[in-house]
Amino acid sequence: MTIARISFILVIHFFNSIEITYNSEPSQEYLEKAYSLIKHRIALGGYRLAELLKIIKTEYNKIHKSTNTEVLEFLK
Amino acid sequence: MNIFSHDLVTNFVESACWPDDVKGFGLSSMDNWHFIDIPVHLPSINSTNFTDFNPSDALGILVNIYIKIIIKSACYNVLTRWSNREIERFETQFEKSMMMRYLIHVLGDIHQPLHTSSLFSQKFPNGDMGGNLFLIKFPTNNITNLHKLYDSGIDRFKNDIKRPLKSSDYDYLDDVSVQIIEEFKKDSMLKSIKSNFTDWINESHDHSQNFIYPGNTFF
Repeated sequence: MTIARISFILVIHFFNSIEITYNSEPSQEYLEKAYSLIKHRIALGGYRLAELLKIIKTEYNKIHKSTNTEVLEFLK
Repeated sequence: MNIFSHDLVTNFVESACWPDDVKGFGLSSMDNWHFIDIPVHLPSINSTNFTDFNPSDALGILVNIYIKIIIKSACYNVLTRWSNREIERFETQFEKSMMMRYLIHVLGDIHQPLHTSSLFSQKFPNGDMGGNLFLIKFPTNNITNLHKLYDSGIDRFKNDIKRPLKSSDYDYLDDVSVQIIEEFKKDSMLKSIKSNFTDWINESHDHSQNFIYPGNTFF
């Protein structure tokens, strides 16, 4: 029972350590998680932009005479 | 277009920053293209006074309409303007260039979660403006609030690169890109890449709701 309580307190401690609170310095754990998130977002945004530019390039030659289903689907 | 950029933008890479440059030159009518303040609710905070801001209700519907009009119009404009090969007047070239710059920029902005979110709480009854009002203490680089922390890439990237870019700047950007591409392979993200604009905004907002702001579940 005691071990369970200690474990529970440790878990709470860990979770608190990666929160951010107003007007205080973010913990190192929070910053590491945030950095991972930011890199993931940059990668995803970059890949998506590349795909979008590919579509634009393709559509450049045909959009004025087609219904453009691929683009419309993309922009749902 | 360079009359509006003071020669800061000479190519595709530099153009990504142009929509921020023009804000500094006094062109403010497109300022609200850069963000969408979808409310964040924290279970740990008594937000019963702020239920009007639940994304699933009327405001949420308005938010969705806003997304459609603002974000998609940028994309539609690019696509439709580019479609008519017969029109090559200066005005059209100008518009194509401008809308392409916004498209690149807005797409980047919506992947920064605090460009799609605003915390509503007792402390911020009118929202925290995407973390701009959420003050933090941080040792370097004048990072004084949550928004600046995330805009800076958590202060792990060079934030003092001046434009026009020098060859050493391109080398740095190439290195960072290669590292990120190595860490997050395209093949592992195909399903996410193929989703649509609304999904992208909601996904970005989810990161704010579930990780960035306090007292919630964790990324």
